[in-house]
Amino acid sequence: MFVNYLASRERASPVNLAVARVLLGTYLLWKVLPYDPRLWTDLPFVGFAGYVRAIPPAPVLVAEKWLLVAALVAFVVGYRTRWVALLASLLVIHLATVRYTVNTGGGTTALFFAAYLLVFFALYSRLDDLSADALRRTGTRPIETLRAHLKRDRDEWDRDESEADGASPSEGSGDGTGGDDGDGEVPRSFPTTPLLYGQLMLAIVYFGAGFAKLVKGGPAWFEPDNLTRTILVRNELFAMPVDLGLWVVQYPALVSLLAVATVGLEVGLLVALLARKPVWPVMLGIWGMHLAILPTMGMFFFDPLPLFALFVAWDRVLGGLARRDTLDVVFDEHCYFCARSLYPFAHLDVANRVRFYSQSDAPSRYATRSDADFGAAMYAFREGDATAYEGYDAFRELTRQLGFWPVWFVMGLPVVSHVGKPVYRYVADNRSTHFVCSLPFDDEDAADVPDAQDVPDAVEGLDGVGVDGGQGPDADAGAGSGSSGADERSHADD
Amino acid sequence: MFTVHTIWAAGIGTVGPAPVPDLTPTTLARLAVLAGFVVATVVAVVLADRPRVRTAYVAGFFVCLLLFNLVGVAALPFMHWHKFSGDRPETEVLYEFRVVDAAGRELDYDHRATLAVDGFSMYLVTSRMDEYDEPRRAAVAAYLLARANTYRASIESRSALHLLRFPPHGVEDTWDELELAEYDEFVGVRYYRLELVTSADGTAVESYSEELLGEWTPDGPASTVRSDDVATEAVAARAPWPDDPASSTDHVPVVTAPARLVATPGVTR
Repeated sequence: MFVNYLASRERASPVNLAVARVLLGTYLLWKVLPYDPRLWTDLPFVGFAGYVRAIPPAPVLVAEKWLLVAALVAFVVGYRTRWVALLASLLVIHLATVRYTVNTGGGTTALFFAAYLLVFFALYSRLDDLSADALRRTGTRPIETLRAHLKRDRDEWDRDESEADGASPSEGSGDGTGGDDGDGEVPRSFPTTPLLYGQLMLAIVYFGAGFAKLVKGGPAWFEPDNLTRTILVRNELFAMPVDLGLWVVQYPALVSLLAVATVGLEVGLLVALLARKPVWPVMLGIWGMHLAILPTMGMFFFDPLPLFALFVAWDRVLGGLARRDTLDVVFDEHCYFCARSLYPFAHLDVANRVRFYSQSDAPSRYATRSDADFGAAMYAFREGDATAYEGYDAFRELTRQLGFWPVWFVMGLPVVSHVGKPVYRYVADNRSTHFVCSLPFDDEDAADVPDAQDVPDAVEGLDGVGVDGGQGPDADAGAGSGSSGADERSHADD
Repeated sequence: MFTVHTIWAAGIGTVGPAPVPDLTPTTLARLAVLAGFVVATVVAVVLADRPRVRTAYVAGFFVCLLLFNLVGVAALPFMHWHKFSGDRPETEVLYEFRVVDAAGRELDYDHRATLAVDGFSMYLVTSRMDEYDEPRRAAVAAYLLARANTYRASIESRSALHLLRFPPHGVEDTWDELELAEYDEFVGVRYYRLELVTSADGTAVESYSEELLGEWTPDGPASTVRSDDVATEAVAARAPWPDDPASSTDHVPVVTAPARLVATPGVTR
C-alpha cells in the first residue's frame, strides 16, 4: 500500500509523483482557504513571543493568503512547478510562523512539514512528467519521440512493486538527476526524489517523537500509570465521543502495550525506511495510532492522513482501477498537437491496457473501416465492441479505460457531451490554425495507409518523413514545429 | 448595553496593543534560523540545476531537521512533534476561561471562537494573565467575549449547508445551536484555576477543585473577585512558561473544549 521510496527510488510511471503533487496542493488549499489571518493580529495579548516580530500588518497577511492560494492552484496542475512551489513554500512558512504565535497545535506545525515537501517539489520539478509543465515540455520533442512514447511496449510495468521495492539502490541516482531534460527520449523510469525526501522527513519527525519519549520519559514513560493518567485526565476534562479511554485505563498491561507500540511505531518508520524494508505496516500503524487517539483521548487532527497519503502506491491503485480488456486508440500520426494531447494518457496507462496506433500501423480491421476517418479525428476501438468511438467519445472511452469512472460518467451527461463534442470538433478542425500540427500527407496518402503489420518497411519509410526529417513537403512543417518547440523550451526553462 | 464592537474597542482602546517583548538572544537566534532557511531555500531552488547545490541544501536540511528533532527545540521552520513525551504528574493544574450569560450561567470557552478555524492554544492566553495588569486582563476578557458573541452569532445563523463547507481541521467538541439555545446573551468572562489530583496508579481522580480567579463584564473590572492572595497562589502553582511551546502539552494542558466537569447551565460551581 505504501511505498518505501528509499528502496524504490524510481517508478515505471510518473503517476505517484503527480498524485502526490495534487494531494499536497489540495491539502494545503483545504488548510489555508478557511483561514482569516486578520484574526491573528492586533491582539490584546502576546502569544508565543518568539515570533511576534514576524507578524506583518493584517492586510499583508490577507494578500499573502490569496497569493498562496493562487500559487497552490498552479502547483496542483503542475504549472511552473519550480517557482510556484518555491513561492508557496515560503508563504506557507510565513503564514504558519505567524499562526504559530497563537496556535502551537499539530494542525499548525504540520504546515511546516507540508512546506518542506513543497521545497522538494521545487528542487526536483523536472522529474514531474505528468503535469502542465510536462505537457509544455512535449513541445520541445520531435513528433517521432512522442509517437514512440505512445506506442512503446510497456512491458516494464511488469517489473512490479515487489521487484522494485527490493531493487538495488544503484537503480536510481537518488539525486533525481535522471529526470527528463525536455528534449531527449521520454524516460522509461521515473525518479521520485521529492517523495523519497518527503518520506525521510516524516520518518525523522516521528523518530524524534519516539526518541523524546525514550530520553525524556525514560522507562517511567512505559509504566502503566503514565499513559493511564494521560488518558484519564483527558477523559475527565474533555468531552469524549465514546468512553473507550476510561475502559482502556482499567487494563494496565494493555496501556503499557499501547505505550510500547506507540514508541515502536514512531521509531520504526525511520528504521524500516533505512533498512529498505516494507514501510506499509508501520505507516498503517501510525495512521491507526492517530485514529485511536480520538476515542481514547479526544484529540485528532487530520493532517497525518493526507501527509501519509502522499506515499501510497498510487500507480498500483490506478492499475487496479483500469479495465481488464484492451482499448485500441488510433490517432493521426502527423498531428503534433494530437500526439502531445495523448502524452499524459500514455503515462496514466499504468496497467498497459491501451494500445496506441497511428494510421500507418493500425491493424487492417481498423484501417479498412469505412466509418473512420483517421485524418479527421481520433478513434477508439474496444475488443468485442463494433463501435468506432470518434473524437470526444474516444477520449471518454480513454478515461473509462484508465479507471477514471467519474470523469467518464460526467462526460456522458447530455449537457456535458453537447458542449464537449462541438468543442472537440472545433479543435480538431482548427488544430493546424491554433496549434502546432503538421500534416505531411495529402488526402491520397491518408486514404491509402498501408497496414503496418503487413508492410513494415513502408512504415519505417513513412516514419522517416517526419516533421524533423526535413524532406519533401514536410520540411517546412518540420521547421515550423521545431521553432515552436524551441520557443516553448525557453518558456519551460523559465 | 455594549455591542460586541464597543466591548472590544473599549478593551483595546483602554490599554492599546499588547506590548512586544524585548529582543532576547534566544529570539534573535530563532529569527536567524528562520531567515537563514528562507535564504538558503531561495538560493537552492534558483540554482537547482546544479546538482551539487541541491545535494548540499538537502544534506544541510536533513542535518538540521534531525538535530532539532533529537534536541526537541522548535526553531521555525524546523519543527518536531514531541507530544506527551514527559512523565505525567499526579497533580495537574490548568487554567480556563468560561463565558457567563445574563442569568449567570457558565459555559466553557470554545477556543474556536478566537480564530474561526481551530482556535488559540488557550494556554498562550492563560499563561499571560498573571503577567498583565488589571486593565490588560480586562482587555483580554473583552476580546474573548466579543469573539464569543461573534462566533455564537455565526453558529446560530448558519444553515445546514455549512456542513458542505470545508471540513474542520480536527475533531473537537464545540458549541452548537442546541447547546447555545440554553443560554442567554453572553455578558461576561470568568477565569478559573483547576486542580486535578490522580491516584498513584493513574486510574482514578482523587480530588478535583476549581477556583475563580477573576470575572470581567463589559462594565469593567468592578466585579472582579480576584484577590492578591489568590493571584499569588496561582503564580506559584503555574507550570513554568515553556521555552518550546511545541512540546507544551507536557507541561501546560491545553484547555480547548467544554469540560465534562462543567456544571449544567444554571449551576455555578
